[in-house]
Amino acid sequence: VRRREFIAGLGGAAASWPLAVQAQQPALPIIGWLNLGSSEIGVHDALYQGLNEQGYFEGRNVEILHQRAAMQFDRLPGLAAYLVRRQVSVIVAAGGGTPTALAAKSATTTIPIVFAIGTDPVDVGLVARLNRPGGNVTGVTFLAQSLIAKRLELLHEVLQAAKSIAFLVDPINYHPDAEIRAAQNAADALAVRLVILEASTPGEIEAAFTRLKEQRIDALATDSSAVFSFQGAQLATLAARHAVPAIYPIRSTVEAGGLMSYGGNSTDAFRLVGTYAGRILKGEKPAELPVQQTTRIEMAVNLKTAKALGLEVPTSILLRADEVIE
Amino acid sequence: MTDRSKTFKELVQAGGWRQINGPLFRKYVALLLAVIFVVLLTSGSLNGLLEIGFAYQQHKVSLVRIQREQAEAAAAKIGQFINEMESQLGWTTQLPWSTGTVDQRRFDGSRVLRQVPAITELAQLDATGKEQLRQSKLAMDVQNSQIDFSHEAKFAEAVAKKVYYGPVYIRRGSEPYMTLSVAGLRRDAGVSVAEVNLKLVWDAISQIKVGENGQAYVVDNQGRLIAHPDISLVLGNTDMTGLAQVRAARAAGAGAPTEPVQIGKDLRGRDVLAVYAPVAPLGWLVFAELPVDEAYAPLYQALERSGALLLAGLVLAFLAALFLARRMVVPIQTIRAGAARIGSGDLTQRISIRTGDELEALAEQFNRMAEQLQDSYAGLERKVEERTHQLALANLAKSRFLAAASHDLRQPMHALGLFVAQLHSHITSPDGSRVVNRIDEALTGMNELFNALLDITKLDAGVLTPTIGEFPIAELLGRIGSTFTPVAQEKGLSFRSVPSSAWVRSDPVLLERIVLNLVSNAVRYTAVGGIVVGCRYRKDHVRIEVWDSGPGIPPDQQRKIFGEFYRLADAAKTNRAGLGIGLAIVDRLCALLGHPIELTSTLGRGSRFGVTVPTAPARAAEQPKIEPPPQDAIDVARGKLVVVIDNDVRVLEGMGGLFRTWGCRVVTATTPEAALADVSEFGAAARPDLVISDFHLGDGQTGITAIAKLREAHGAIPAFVMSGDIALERLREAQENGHHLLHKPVQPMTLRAMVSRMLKSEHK
Repeated sequence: VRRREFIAGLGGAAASWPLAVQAQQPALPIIGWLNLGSSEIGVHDALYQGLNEQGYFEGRNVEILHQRAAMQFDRLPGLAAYLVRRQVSVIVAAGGGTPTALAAKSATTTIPIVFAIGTDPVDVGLVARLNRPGGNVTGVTFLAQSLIAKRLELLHEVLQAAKSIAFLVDPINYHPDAEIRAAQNAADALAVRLVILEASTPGEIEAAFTRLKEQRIDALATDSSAVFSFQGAQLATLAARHAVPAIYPIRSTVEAGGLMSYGGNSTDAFRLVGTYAGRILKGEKPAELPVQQTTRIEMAVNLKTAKALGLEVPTSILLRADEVIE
Repeated sequence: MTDRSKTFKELVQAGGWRQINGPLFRKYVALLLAVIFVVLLTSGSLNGLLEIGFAYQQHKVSLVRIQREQAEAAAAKIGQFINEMESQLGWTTQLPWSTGTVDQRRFDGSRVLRQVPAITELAQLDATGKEQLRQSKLAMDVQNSQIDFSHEAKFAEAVAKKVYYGPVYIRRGSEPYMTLSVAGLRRDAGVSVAEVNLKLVWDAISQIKVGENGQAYVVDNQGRLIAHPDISLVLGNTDMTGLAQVRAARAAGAGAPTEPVQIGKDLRGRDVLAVYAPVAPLGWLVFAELPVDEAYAPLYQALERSGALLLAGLVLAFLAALFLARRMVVPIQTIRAGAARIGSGDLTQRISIRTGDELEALAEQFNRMAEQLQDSYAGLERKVEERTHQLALANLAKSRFLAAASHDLRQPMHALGLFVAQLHSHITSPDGSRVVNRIDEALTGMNELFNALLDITKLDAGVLTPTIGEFPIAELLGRIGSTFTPVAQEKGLSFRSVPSSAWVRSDPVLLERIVLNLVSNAVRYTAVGGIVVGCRYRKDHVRIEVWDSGPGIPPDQQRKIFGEFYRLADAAKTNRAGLGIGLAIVDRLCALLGHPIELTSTLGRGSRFGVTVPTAPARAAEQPKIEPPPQDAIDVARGKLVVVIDNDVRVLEGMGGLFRTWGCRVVTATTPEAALADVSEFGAAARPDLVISDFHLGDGQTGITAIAKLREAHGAIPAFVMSGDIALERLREAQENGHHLLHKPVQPMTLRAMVSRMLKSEHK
């Protein structure tokens, strides 16, 4: 991907060198990228793609200053403050969801912030309205949180015999209350018992699985906390070990061995973040850029995992699945 | 070429650039420029401009065609998108609710939801309008809700028209949605109602590329933006009816005629070329817009290219014009400059031009002209020189004649004077004495006349060059006094010279001649009374004044008397009438010396002549010897031994006779050697008391050497020189040797005065 960009950059440079000369100011504009993880993951390429679509290429006409919290949420405010001190042109809060975006928002009211989250940005207080955000913050939401009911329905459809479903939430880094309420409503509609399990660290996740097993809970769903997004592999492994059918918000967990996922397409979301960052660099105001929602909702099913769990995935599910891993 | 450039360089060095850059140069440059420009314009650029115009029209037409095709394609795509949804929905309304299971319906619904990403929610209503099944991507499925939609448009319209397109609405404040209902072919198959997310229409729109910066978008039948490459505009729920092209297109949809291409402004305010295509079943409009700038870009580029070419052509034309004009003007300027120099008299000037054309021929003509001028000028000069030379020769001849005549005439006249003087002592009868006196008077007049004639000739010939020196005026006045006192006494007039200690700056000889002439004139014309000579001081000048108590000069004649041969009418009657050139000489001498002369005269009372001479600082000098008039001259001369040397025997005879009548012993000789021999005859102790020598003695001897020889033999004897040569050089030579010089013819009275002065000074 980098090589392609590089070549594309060369082409662009050759075609528009007078512009490039004009843009070659002593300091290139800097995008500060605040990320909860310790490295980029596959979907992050989409962000570069979005920047490229807007004519920005890292190292040529824009610099990207990475600040990674290595899964330590308490480091986010400090990293955000650092980006503010560096007076970056735009802060991209992408990777780490809502806590990353909130940390950035608390650090500055002037530097534009573009987020990528799975929650409702109005509910968590990032923007006043989706249509006209009004402040220095805008971004993309990829419909993770609001889909919990649908997820429980789908999970129940796969495992119709399930009497109880564990809802693993992260109370420290995430505010799962709304999601818990939605999950509870859905569980009531499905007539299953919802057991709330809390975990905010890998160790706690492991402990939660122990409790889940102790309490003989039939299935598992997680909230949209970034912890669970980043710990997809651990979740998949633990679920397999404990033979628990589970549904997750993002597809990457299914690719790591999770049973199924249902949620907005995060690749689309990161690409849109990239285009918004580019447009802000060109001078557009975040207050006037509406919060976008990814419209593509995708369902992934890992038949290998299902088979290992001894599950037969019903046709209605397979009909709906956008991706089936066999 | 080097020739021309050299000429050019010279012109520049002589401030010539201004010359080159003159009106002619500018005229040529302008003319050539105009010609080249017109040629350029007609042959190349105009053609180019026309072609640009045609090309632009073609370009525009093709752009618009592409745009229209794109818009139509997009409209077709959207139509297809809707149709596909319709047909997908059709699957769910094939069977009547009475047959088939709910599960079957659910499968159908799930398939539709997966295959059509834009459908977020699908509700299946039975034939009575009651909802049997609702499936959603966002919410949990609902089965058998039995909600009655029979009165709503999405059911009623669908039943009536088989398909229903609801208005576009916004979900959650930002998502454009539309309700699409499809009724089954069979009435009991019910209606499927889909909520369609129109953002996915964007996929269709965003793939439309209109030029570089153009774009396509879709507005619904309310004029609201429902698809745009910039999704935020769609989410922002933008009303597009503000755009002229949208209004026009909607009006056209309502039946009003419209232009196929609209020029309007897009949302960012850019001028755009807009075309549109309707999406048939929906009443939507797909617009394709291309910024006018971009449409014009090829035109601008072509114009720029043509402009640049034209500019380059102009620059070249200008340079060429400069070059050509210079080629034309430089030779002309060279000719001009050369002609100007020839005109200013530099006839050696030649114009060098090697253009090989008429200009070179012109330059040759100039050169030939200059040559001829030079030749004739040289001839003229030669003639003038010849003539001048001839004149000079003639003048010289005249001078020689005058000198010779003067010398040769003086000797006999001098002798004549001496003989007449002697005659006095031999004639005793009163009648005889009267005759001799008459002879004497006639002779004196002749002498004066003769001297004056020669003087004025010399003055007019301009051979007199004054020798300016500083000297005491007293000496001059003294000599005048001693000269004229006896003459005045003889006429019964008084003569007085007022002593002066002033020093003046003038030529002593010529100034003396001026005063002499004035006094001589005064003595001549004054019958009674006397003459006074004196000086009057004026700041740094002194005015030598000569007063007389003569008849005076009438005012109307005061200027005329300085003319030659002018005599007062009354003066003509007097017996001692002069030639009338005394004052003419005075006037000329005064002019020569730069001494102003003035005359004041009262008729019947007398006249005053004044000559103003610059003073000089007084120096210690010997007091002027005011010599008493030689009353006892004869007594002084008596018994003295006088040596007279002259190479003219008649002069010797005359002089000898005269001195003898004065009681002197006389030795007359033609050479100093003979004189010495004769002196010795008077005895070994004999010593001459006075030596008088002629200036020119022949054999290279002069009076000065003769006197020197006698003085060598007998010590410092008083001596003076007489000369028939009136050249001033003689006088100066004599003075330099300390000798007095008398000009022949010497009047006996003058001679006597000089002799007695000499002897008296010796006596002392």
